[in-house]
Amino acid sequence: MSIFDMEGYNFYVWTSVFISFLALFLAYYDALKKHKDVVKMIKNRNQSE
Amino acid sequence: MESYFQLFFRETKVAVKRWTDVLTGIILFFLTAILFPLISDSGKDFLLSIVGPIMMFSSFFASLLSMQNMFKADFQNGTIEQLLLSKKSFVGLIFTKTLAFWLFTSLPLILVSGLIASIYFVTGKDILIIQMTLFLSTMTMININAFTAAITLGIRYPGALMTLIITPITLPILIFGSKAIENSILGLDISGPLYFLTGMMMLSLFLGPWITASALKISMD
Amino acid sequence: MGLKAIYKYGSPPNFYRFVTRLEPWCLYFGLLLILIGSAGGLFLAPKDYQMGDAFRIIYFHVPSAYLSMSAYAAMGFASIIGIVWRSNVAFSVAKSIAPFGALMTTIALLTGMLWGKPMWGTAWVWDARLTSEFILLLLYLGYITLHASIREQKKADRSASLVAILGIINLPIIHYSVVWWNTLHQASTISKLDSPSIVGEMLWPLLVMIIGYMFFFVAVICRASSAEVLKREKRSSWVKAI
Repeated sequence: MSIFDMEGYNFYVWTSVFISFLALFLAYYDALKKHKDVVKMIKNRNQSE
Repeated sequence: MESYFQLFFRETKVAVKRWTDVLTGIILFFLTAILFPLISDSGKDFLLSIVGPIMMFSSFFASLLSMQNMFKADFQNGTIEQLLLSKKSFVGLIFTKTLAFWLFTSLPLILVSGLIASIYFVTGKDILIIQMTLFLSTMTMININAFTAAITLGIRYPGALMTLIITPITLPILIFGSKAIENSILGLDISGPLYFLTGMMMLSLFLGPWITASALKISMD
Repeated sequence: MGLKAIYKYGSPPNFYRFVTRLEPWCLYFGLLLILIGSAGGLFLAPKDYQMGDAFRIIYFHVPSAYLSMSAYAAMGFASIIGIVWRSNVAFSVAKSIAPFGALMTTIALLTGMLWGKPMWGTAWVWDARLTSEFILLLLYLGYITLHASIREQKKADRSASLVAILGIINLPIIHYSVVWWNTLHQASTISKLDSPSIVGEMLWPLLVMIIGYMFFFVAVICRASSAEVLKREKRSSWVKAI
């Protein structure tokens, strides 16, 4: 496929694709983790009461 | 009206008592400004080409450091709370306080800047333009700094955080100020940058005390 | 509409319910659009005759740059609502926007550098837009640091919101002063490649990407702010029922 041979631009294009997807993943993962932690904390408190 | 004068005289007394604080700003301004010819090229052309940015940078730096603790002592000994409780408008009192602070921290800088300008081989009318630019920009900066000092009141070491908050807000002043000095030295038209600086000064004089007062109210309760 | 709506959706339980229902839709739709857009941008769009294949970075650069600015606007808007109506929900939305906005600004800067290196020969030029983007990053970092260094929740919220509002007032001034400074310093270095005219086949993946990023942004904010609301309301009865 021609897209994997971009006249020396390979590195630049694929690096930016990679960091963009990494950032999106990290953003959502972080939000998800925050939510899970809070829900866990609330459940623990409910049980202990 | 009387209580504003009272506050002003009180600030004067405090400034005389803590003269080292006032001196800190002048020393910083002077040292940062004369360091550049000492550590780099001291040729006339080079110095004339960098005098604008250096004047702005040094005054920015000096007023930032000397204003870090603007409200701290008054906050600890309860003066701010008294001002908040007084019948006079709090915004007006803050305006008075800021103005007094400008008189003791920034006016000396403007006076000293004439001397520094002549170290940088600036002559004649350009020295006055430098002082005028510094007047307009320190008037704006002092309001921005007062706001930031008010908002970081509860933090123990606010230095780095203040710099982070102030830098983006002050950037336009620094750009236009150094542009005005540069243009004046090159013999170009300086009305554009000076109009901008005047406009920003008016804006900050109207908005600044108000925002600072609300920031102080937030920090107090 | 008006005040009634604000009170209805501004109350934490209603907000939480609304946001958790909205979130999956935005997430899947956003991801779908991002996948379509990147496939279109990377494989289907034709090569640019001037820049070759390197212009494909634009499909990842422009959405993040666009989002970094609109996220700041959203943060400022939420801060204003928070200050005026003392709404805890608005404060938690503003707080959860900040890290995402800072991340997007960083990505915009990095992809811009990756595009600039082969195109301009250097990763960084003192171009107006690059400088403004960097200043935007500083504004985000100021908000985040201020919020983190004040211990009291309420005080931190209101102080940081004041900074965000001041940033909103100042952002246009900063941008135009940087543009003006830039035009006087180096006008001709990049103007040739400055505004590539994008047309037709190249344009649609870009638009799809931008919309996809927007939906993704909404999904992330929904998730993060719902967590923040739960944390703040942990003592109230409706939280215990979850």
